[in-house]
Amino acid sequence: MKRHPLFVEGKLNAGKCNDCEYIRFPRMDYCNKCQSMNISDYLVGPKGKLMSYTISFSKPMVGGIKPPYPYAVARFDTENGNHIDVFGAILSQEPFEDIKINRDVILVSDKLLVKFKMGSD
Amino acid sequence: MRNVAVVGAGVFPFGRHHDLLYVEMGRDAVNDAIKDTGIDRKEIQSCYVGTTGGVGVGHEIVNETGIIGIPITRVENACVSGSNAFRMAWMDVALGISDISLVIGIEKMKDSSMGEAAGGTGRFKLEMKAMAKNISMASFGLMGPPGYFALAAHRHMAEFGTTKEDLASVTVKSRTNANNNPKAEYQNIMTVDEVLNDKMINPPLTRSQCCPKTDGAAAVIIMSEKLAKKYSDTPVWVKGSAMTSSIIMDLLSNLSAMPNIKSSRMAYDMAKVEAKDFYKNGFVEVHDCFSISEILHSEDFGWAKKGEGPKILNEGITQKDGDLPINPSGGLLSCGHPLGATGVRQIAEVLFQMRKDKEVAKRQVPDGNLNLALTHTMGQPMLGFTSCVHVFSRNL
Repeated sequence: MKRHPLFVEGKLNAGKCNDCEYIRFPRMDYCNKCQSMNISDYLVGPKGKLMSYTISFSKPMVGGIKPPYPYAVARFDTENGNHIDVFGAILSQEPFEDIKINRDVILVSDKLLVKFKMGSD
Repeated sequence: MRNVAVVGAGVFPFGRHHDLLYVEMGRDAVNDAIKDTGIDRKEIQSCYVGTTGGVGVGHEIVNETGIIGIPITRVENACVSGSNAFRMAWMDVALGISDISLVIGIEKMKDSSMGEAAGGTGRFKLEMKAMAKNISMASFGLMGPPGYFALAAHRHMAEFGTTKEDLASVTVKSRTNANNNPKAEYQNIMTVDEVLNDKMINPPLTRSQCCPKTDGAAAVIIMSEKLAKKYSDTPVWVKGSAMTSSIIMDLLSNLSAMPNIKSSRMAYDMAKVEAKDFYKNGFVEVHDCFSISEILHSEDFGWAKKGEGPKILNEGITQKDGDLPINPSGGLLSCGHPLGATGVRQIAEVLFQMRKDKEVAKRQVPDGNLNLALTHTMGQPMLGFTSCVHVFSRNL
């Protein structure tokens, strides 16, 4: 199974099943819903909504982010009223007062990690 | 398939046993289970060992307890290892391959691979690092299980108005039950304020809202209907067993974990029961790895409407003398969570409770709640979930 990049053109490199239309991130070579291997690239984002967050006080295993740092799940609309939920770090400064659930987030491209910042531009 | 019953159990006290070997904990649990069952150890025909880090310990334990020549199978499935081992033993006896099977659940979190994943160092951490570089795991490597459940907790608060006091109340209930469990790691009573003022791990979860990294062992002995009736007047029958998995992190999409919903309904169907049948009739031991977990499970298993997990907690329904006692043992939050041992300890609790043993006298659930019981573990939150559910009854 080949590895796919996380981001393409500043958007999430998700996969869409050509058989059942299920969209999944990260992109894999099979469909998580119908197990089809017929998958196409499908780009998502960059604008999303913050679903939830927490703060990590310890050093992450990868990515070289200095603790404490906020960690989040954000929701990105896809099509036909569907969405995907994506985990990532939020780029923010202590005391992280800008971080509020249901506010807009925008993707920040990175090779290794999904990163967001608060706001819509 | 044949009917199968749990007939005996032994639990080695959960705690920080850094100076003890796996075999020293496991040996005692097995000997207690054999004594409790009243069988000769020669009658045990198979053994299943749930452990993540205990490589080869099943053979060591069986060897030291004088059980010779039987098949010994190690089962590794993260936090589900103990329940999974029990399920394998149940299949073995139900299919008529063995008449009596021994299940051991055991873990030393300090020296085990998953223990390292939960904050330790060493080889497994390196594997985690490599795994996090695989984009299928993208960003999951950033946080451990506490962070993931912290996200669920904040979302539950935003969506349903759940408060941090509600979350802390899960720990308060857990400690109150564990205060009567001499084999729990933490037996101290705590107040809501004390829970909230504890060290912050990942907001909103404080330390006492996260299950501790505990060492421990438990063993149960199961047998066919014919032998169960010979050896026991109070066997506990396995009425349902189910295990499912998912490959995506679905818990945050709708604050439900699909494998928990699926495995619970599969186990209910097999046992011919419904969620409501547990009210005023049963009790449950669920995987309260974090305070929010118990709330989510009470909703996913159908005991509370979505968003109303805190309501049944605050109304006292889930207290040990409530209509549906949840985790009368103190659960993972207070007993601790030696990964492989947890699922087997839960089943031992079911047996002790249903038999009204002296061991559980101070945390005994009401007589009317002893007809039905459920145990549940879930694991591997970074690769999707596995969930394992068993349903038990005093009546065949």
